[in-house]
Amino acid sequence: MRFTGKTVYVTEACTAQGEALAVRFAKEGANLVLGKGTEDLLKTVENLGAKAMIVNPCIVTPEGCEKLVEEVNAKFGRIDVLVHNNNHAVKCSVADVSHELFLEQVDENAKSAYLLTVAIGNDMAKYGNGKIVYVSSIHCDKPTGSTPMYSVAKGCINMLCKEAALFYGRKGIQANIVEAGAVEGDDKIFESTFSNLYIMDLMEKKVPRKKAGTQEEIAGVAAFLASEDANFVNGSNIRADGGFELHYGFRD
Amino acid sequence: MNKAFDMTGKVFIVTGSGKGIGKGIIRCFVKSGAKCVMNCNSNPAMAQDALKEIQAIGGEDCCILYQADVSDPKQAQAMCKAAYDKWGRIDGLVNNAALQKQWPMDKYPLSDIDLLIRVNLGGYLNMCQAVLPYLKETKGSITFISSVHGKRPTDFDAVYAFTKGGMHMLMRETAIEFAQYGIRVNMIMPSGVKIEFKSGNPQPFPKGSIQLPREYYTDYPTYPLGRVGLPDDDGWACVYLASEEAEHVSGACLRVDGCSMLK
Repeated sequence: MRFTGKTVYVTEACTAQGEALAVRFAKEGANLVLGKGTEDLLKTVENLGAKAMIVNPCIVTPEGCEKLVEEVNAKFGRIDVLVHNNNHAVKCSVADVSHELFLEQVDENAKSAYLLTVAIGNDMAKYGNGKIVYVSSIHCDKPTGSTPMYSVAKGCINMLCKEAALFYGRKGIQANIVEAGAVEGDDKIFESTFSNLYIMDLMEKKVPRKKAGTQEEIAGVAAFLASEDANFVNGSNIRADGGFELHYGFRD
Repeated sequence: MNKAFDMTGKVFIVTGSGKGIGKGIIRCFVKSGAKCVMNCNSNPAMAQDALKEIQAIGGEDCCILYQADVSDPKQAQAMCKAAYDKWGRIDGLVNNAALQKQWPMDKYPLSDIDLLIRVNLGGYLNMCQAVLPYLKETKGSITFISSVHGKRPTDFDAVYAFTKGGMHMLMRETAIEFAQYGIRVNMIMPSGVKIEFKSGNPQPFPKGSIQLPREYYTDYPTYPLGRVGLPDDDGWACVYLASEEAEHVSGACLRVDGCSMLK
């Protein structure tokens, strides 16, 4: 029970990955703040013994993020762990993407991470400790050929994490990235003729163990980074993809 | 006779080239025989002086100045059209126009975060889109000027690094997508570069830039090669990446940093 008495805020708790994160932290004793969480998920984590609340903040403005901190602090006292889990990928191409979609993808997936890092990091700094975990993607490094603006946003988070590791690291906070990959369902959104990774139905064969990852496995890595076991891990990327990204096309 | 890097008859657009690294890139392309579009936005008077300096090297017809804000897709398109109308072809784009605001990480105004996203990422994207039809004709190339801060944090401008990280992925996505047209896309990561007016500092750079005063060597102990970068260091790297000699190079990052990132 590494998180007993600690409050963990998971953004986009309404997604499959968000639910798995919430359940994992609840099982390890945390209080849960469920960004856009459903009533069903609230019940699930409460049944696991967690105190929990649902929040629906505007996380693309500094005011929205500060209001969220106040709201959570009123109920739980503070946020110990921020898990940024915004992974909304939209199919498009560099050649044709609209300016609006570009801004939307960067704001939602990356600017939200920056503004939450600052608002919550400043609050964590008062206590001299805290953990920030960005649930990102192998596509912060490997292009998708199908969701380029999502990759751009994930690239932004790479450097945000490193800046936060220095700036907030001096205040006792650690910031790290999980590069998630090859999780069930990924082949639909990332299918591309430009990338060896997602050509049609071969995705699972490209993971050496021949089985895609699960949201629970990603949540396990995030929980490690959010725990005191990772106190000396700061500004790091952990690729959690079963070796998927190492595949380059010569074998099925 | 080695004719490597001969750019005679080729046309390049370099964004943000009225000063600094961009001007150095233009200088190197013009010295290699190319025609160039010099682009400026905020300081046209300074760019006029830069234009004269370039024309003194390559003649009146080697370079035109075009004022445009590349964060506006329409202005980006108009600039590409102007280059095509003038010379009938475009062989390459160098995306260089980018901003730094240097606020502390926790004091960055939202308006400046948005501005850096629109210019440093949106501007590069707009130009890739605007130049694509012309580069399809020439199987040309695109080079992004990034920074060592696309890999190593700045510790002085978190949003600048944030956009440079995004730029790395934009380069990679553009490279993998535009490969089908024979268009190559690469990136240069400069370190600190001594330019005329850096960050509002109005100290002019000494003339005869390559023959640096001795103190420049001792002023920069973080550079194993003994000096800070110069615009032409990045310029020659751009000429190589745009040349036919680099025809199998795409999606690559070339650090031009005097080995500083390893120190």
